[in-house]
Amino acid sequence: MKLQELTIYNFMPYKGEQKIEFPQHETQNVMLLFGDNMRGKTSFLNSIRWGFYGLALGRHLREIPRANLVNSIAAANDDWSMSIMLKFTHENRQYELRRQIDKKNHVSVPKNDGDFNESIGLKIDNEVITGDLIVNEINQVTPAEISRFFLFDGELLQEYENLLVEQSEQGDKIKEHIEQALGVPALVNGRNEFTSLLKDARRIQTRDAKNSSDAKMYAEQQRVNESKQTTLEKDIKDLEIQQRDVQKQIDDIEDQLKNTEAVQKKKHTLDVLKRERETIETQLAYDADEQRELFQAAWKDVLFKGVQPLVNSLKNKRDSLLNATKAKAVLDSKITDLQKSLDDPICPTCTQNIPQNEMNVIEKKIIELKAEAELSHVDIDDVTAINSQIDKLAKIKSSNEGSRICELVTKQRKMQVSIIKIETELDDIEEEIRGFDTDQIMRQREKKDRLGNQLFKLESDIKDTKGLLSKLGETQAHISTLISKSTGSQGQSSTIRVNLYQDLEVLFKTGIDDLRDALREQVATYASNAFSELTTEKTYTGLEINKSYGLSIVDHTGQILKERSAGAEQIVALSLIDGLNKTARKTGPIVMDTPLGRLDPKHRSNVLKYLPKMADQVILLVHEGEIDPGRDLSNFAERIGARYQIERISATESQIVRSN
Amino acid sequence: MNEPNRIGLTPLAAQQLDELLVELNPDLDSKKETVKLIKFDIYRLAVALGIKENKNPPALNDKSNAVFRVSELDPDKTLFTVVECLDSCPKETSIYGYIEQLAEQGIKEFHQHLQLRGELPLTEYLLDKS
Amino acid sequence: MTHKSDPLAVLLRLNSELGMNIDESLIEECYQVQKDHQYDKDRNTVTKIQAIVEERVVEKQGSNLI
Repeated sequence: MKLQELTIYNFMPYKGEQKIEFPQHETQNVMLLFGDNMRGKTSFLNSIRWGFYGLALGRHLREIPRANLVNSIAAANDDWSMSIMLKFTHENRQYELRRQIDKKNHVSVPKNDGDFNESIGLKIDNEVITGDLIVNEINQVTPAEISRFFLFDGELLQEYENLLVEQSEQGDKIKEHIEQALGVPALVNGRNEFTSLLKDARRIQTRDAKNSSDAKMYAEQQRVNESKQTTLEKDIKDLEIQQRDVQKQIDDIEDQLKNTEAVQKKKHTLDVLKRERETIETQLAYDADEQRELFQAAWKDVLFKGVQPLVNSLKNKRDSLLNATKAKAVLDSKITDLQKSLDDPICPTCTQNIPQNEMNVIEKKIIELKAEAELSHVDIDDVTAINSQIDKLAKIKSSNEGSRICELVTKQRKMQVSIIKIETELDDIEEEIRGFDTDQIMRQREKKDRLGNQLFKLESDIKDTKGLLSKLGETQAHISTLISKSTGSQGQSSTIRVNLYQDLEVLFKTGIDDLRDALREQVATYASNAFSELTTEKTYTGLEINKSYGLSIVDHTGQILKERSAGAEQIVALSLIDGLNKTARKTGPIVMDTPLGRLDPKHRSNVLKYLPKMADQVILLVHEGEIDPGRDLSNFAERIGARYQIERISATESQIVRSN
Repeated sequence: MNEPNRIGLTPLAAQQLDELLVELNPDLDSKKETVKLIKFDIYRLAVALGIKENKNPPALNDKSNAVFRVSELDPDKTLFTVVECLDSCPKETSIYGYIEQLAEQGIKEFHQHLQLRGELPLTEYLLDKS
Repeated sequence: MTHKSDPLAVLLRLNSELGMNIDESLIEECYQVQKDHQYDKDRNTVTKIQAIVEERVVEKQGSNLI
């Protein structure tokens, strides 16, 4: 399928009629649509989607109501008509599709989808196709189930990355997507219908069996089981409704929280700082107590230092007095000795009289010594008094309270500075997050967690109930066989009927699985090829999808890689999408919304080189910053067949303008 | 000289002492057991600093409230001994009278510093200037 | 249409592989009905399938009586 022309009328921001021509050339097959975020890129994608399928998707894949599809300025002027016209070719036939809505006559301001009339017109090779065949024709060309793989919005890529990262859900979700892309509707519908017809056939069989005494018991069991089945089916339906509702609530909260992520971070920082401040304040209080304790004893320390000089001088004085006393004792002893000689003037050695001149010397000496002794006189009371003073003063002890207080004061100043710094930061942050209700944010988070638990439980319940239903189905089949085998049943039409439906159901079901497995292999092959071209890591050779739909990167030795870099996830996702796309459809365009937005520079040029190969027509919706004209465009300038720009007229109006 | 049994402060200094206590003690609403200073603590420190710095305090300019028993204020007669040993007390003043004067002067100084600087400059008082 | 393997061929192959012995023409008829209407908004295939199968039931019953 090849797109030729798109004519938009009053669709979302595109007021009035706007026409886009798609590149038809074989190699110049890339169309670039530049537009800043929020200007209409996703709306462009939706215009194509709505043109083909009457469906426009907003965030979380929620359908956008018709009233919101009509350009708001036109609507304000009471022009509620909107239409999309698509011209395309497929297998050598020329298609012209036009889908239009307008408000119903009796409605003044449409609110619900029911307030609008929708009409579709299709011409193939100029031949008008009647209404009831149109949808089928469109789906033959471009089936609705796989439209997500060629109308490729940013959310899809993000979703794939997320599911590649969340290992636990990975297998199931990928499987779901693959099956959605590859599930053959004919077989799936067939299987479902056979299941339902089988149920009916069994009922008939049961009714017939009631008449045969052998099978009566079985029939009764079947009847009971069937009502159980009905109950279980209803339960599953109810649970699924609840599941969708809870999921929607979670999605809504997530949207709200996304906007407040930054605020939440700040709030966290705020709490951390407040705790820090509290710690410091506690320490300050503690230190203040210690300081006061020291204060109570500080007077002694002060006195101690005050009296030290005095104590030292007293000690010196005492010591000198004691020395003097000793000296005097020595002198006195000398005097005594000399006096003895005077009184008894006989030399002890020669027992002769000591001559008079020598006696005179002795006398002189005695007088000298006496004079000296006089000087050294020490009053013992003085010493006692001094000692007593020293003792009294020595009782004053110090534990260095003064210097310890000074240390605490210094420490206190430092902590106070820290507190001031913290408080300044707190003020700044509080100013920044003012207006955001951080408590509300906390509550929303908690609510989201609760809902998450609820969802998990619902999903688990659904799984369990489906399991029960399945078991019951098996039991019913078994009983059916027993009924069939019981005497009298063999030939009965009801048995024949049941057997036929049973066989057909199994056949179609096996067909679905078989086909899926084969197609899964194909997806893996295409994805692997894409991956080896996109990755910058030359030791990686490809991708592998295992039986449980897990995705792995394989390196050149055939080993599966456990760790993956962030850049790798995006590339794996792109490769998977490419694989799915190629397997699900033979040819067709791809329309990609911001594909490069979050790629690291390393991979960008690889992706840009590869994109033109992904389909016959590649339409890229990019924002100005996403492609660097200087560097990136040179990579594939020669492939560009058309360039458009989304120009902003106002907040509610944009215009698509050609810019080559 | 006769030593008085009780000494104290002039009414002005007494009020200043109260203010000092409020300033140095933690807030009234602190629930935990904390260390709290009493009047004696500040009085003694004022005297000790006055002694160490060899101050020459003037006589009280007002009547003393004489609320402190010296036996409680100075149980080991430490202050008394130091003043006595240092012989810094004038002949006509009793030792406790002198101590009272030192306290009066010291507390007034504390209060003045508090007014001027918003806090007591403890490091200045206590740092060893040797 | 969009797949390399033809679903009908797969069904027929599985029929013999699984030893089911369903009449091949029956399989073809059922599959065709589904294929023709697979994207119809208001599918009426249930009734059509039912009719096809009922025919076979009568046939088989008849052959049993013989």
